[in-house]
Amino acid sequence: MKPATIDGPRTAVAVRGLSKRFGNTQALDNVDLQLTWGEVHALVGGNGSGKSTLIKILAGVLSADEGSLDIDDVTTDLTGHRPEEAARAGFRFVHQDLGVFPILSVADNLGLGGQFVTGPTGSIRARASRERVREVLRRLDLDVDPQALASTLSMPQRALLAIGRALQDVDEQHRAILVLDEPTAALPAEEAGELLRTLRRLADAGHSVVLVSHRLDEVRQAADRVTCLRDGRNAGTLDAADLTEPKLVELILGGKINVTTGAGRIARSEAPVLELRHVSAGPVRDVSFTLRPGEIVGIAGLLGSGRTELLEAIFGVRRINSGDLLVRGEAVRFPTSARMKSHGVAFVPEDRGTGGVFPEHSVATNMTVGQSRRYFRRGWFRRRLMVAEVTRDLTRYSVKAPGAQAGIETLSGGNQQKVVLGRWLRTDPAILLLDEPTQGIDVGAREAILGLIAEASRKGMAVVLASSEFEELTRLSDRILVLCRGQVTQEVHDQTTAHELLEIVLENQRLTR
Amino acid sequence: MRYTSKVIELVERYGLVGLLVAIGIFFKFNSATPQFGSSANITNILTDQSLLGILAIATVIPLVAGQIDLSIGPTAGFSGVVCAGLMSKSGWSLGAAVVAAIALGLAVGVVNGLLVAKAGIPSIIATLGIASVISALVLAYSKGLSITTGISPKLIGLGAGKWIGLPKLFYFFVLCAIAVWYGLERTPAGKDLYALGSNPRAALLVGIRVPRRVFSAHVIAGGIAGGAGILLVANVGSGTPQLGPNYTLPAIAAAFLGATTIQPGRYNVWGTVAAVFFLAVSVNGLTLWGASPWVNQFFDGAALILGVGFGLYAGSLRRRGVGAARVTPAEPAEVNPEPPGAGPDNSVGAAAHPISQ
Repeated sequence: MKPATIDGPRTAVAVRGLSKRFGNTQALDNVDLQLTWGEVHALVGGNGSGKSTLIKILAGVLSADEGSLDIDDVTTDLTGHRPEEAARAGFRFVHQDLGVFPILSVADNLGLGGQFVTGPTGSIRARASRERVREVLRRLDLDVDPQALASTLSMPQRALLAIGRALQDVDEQHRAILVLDEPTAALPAEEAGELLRTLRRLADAGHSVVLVSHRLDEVRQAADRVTCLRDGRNAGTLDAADLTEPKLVELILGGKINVTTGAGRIARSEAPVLELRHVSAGPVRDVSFTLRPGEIVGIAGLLGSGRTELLEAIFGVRRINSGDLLVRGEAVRFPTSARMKSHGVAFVPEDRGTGGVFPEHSVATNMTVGQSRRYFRRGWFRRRLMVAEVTRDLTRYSVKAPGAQAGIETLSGGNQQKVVLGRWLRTDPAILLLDEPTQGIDVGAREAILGLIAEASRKGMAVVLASSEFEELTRLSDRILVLCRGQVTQEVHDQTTAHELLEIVLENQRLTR
Repeated sequence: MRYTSKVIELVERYGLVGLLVAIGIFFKFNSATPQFGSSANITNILTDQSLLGILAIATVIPLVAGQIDLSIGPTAGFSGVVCAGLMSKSGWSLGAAVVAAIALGLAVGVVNGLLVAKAGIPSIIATLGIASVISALVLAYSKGLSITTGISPKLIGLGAGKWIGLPKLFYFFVLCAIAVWYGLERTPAGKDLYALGSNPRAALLVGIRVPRRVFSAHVIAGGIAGGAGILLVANVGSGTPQLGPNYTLPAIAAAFLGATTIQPGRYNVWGTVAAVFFLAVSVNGLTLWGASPWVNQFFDGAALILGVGFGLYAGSLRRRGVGAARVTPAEPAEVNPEPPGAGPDNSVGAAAHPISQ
């Protein structure tokens, strides 16, 4: 068979009619995706849009309910796609978690997974392996010593190393379809650029590169074409040349914004419930702000801006190095989570799995953990009272669960998050700290959670909302603090759009460099 | 479908108890082991297992908090030797020696607790080290010799005597089990302990005083071990330096095996009690049947591995039975598969019939 030649944007890889259903959720509904050799193709979409499912099906990790894959006129049925077939078809994947082991050398990192050159006894032939590694590094223009530990590499270099590992068994005659799942998520903007230039070079060499990204600026910068998924369906494929950021945002959000808004109901005269004076903690430097009852203050910043650390410092789980933390005008000397809780502060952490949910425990236990004192009366634990109250709260916080006694694992991620949020809301906290409250949950659950937050704030609860979803911030917040490299660099009071906010954040990022 | 899952649940919960009863009946009517059902043998089992049972229950408390205490047995041995020694060598009264022995156990618990909760040393390392240190202290204090004279006869009477037909030590065991069960299952502190054992980071973030709870779990376990040391003297009739460490493995084996029954999937007091007697009755019956003494250790080791292995297997079964594709924490899944039966219908139904108080 004649290998495909690079002569214009001929469709080389086509996914057709892909559908996948999980229980009641239609994750993918008749999705098409067309790639050409030599292009960088961005795949965008909000949380729950189906991007990850699509990629997992291409990788052969999940099987599709329907759908086929054409590569250079060879058709494969995706319902029985296996990882080996995906690899044989030329798919290579670099996941968000790069899988680069810091304590191993560059050469060893490349050799993992059966890529060492071995002798007849199975031992590694050091010299031949090193030669191979040099070759791989040269192809990627990665100028590092193969013997250096991966921990000495910068983040973009590590990403390149991961790409190199994915592509090392693709020789120059063959073409790969390289799929990168948010490779720049952990990178500051300037380092992300370095990585994107490498992707461009790979595309120019004839490969096809699929870039999954949340960063709209880099999509515009790096991609030739953009395919957007929304709620498991194709929302459109555009040439990057025609693309403006507002257009992209509209594609992703589908124009249906402003379901829940906060804004405009604070009594400015009320005394602040929380005040930070020149607080420094870890990467957070000299942050001051006040928070009044009923107010929602958004924290906007890119990854690594110190959003999480700021909230952790307020909740007493990160040491405050200097500055004062005042709750209702009184300084809290040595904040601990237990002390802040007794001051009426609540914290919904970013990572539901490690910080929110108690696995192998019931929904009821998860909802009441840390609050069991209220069911402990006259030396006895009032279990039935607890179950009754939790059952009531499941309705109140619109948690879809088989019942209060069901295991927490039986709930979807979105409903687990509602339990984590409800756990705090049912204690009527004065201050609610939210870190990425809608991360990784579907659109419906997201609206429910945003609604709960807005409702609680209307009743007088003060909210600090840290989020990388700017659309969410602009919808809910009364004002937004822009956090850059640990410092509040700007305060946005006026109504802004997600797009304007992104511009502001990027501008601040440039200025604070 | 519903029916079979109920049956599986019943088997999981009470399987070990059922097995215990079956083994008991088998040995009772087995013509080769006529002594098994004799009251002397049953008294013997109850007496011996009371001590092990108390130590196994003490082991459960740190396990619930996600920690393991390998120094429980040695602590009991230590407090026993010191209790006997104080009466024998220093002429202390029984009451004073008892208080001192319990205080000693608490002190060991405090040291463990500080090492684990304050200094952040993994409990398996901290308590293993402490266990060795304790063995050294026991040798230094006793010079390796049993303390047989000068022990209060009242104490020794406790080891041999009966109250209403049951060995006196057994009552201590029952009391200890009820107290620890109450503390773990029916008090807020116990709930907190289970929560932090399941996810310490999340426990911290809901405002549970994690280090303090871990600390107290070790102190309470140490205190119980200290008390058990006194009963050890009562049972053996002397302060014997070599005894303590022998209890470590059986106690841990019983606690782990106990986590597969009564409340499968979590360390629990009654499961541990059932496991203690399951192991004891099996070994006792086999020994009477002519098995060599080594079956004892064999059983403890096998129980430990089977307990953990079965726990893993049952856990995976539970998860598989729950929903098709579970969202693993490693991937912040975009798709949230809803388990069958978690639809809106069910939640409406649940809301329509709130369980009345």
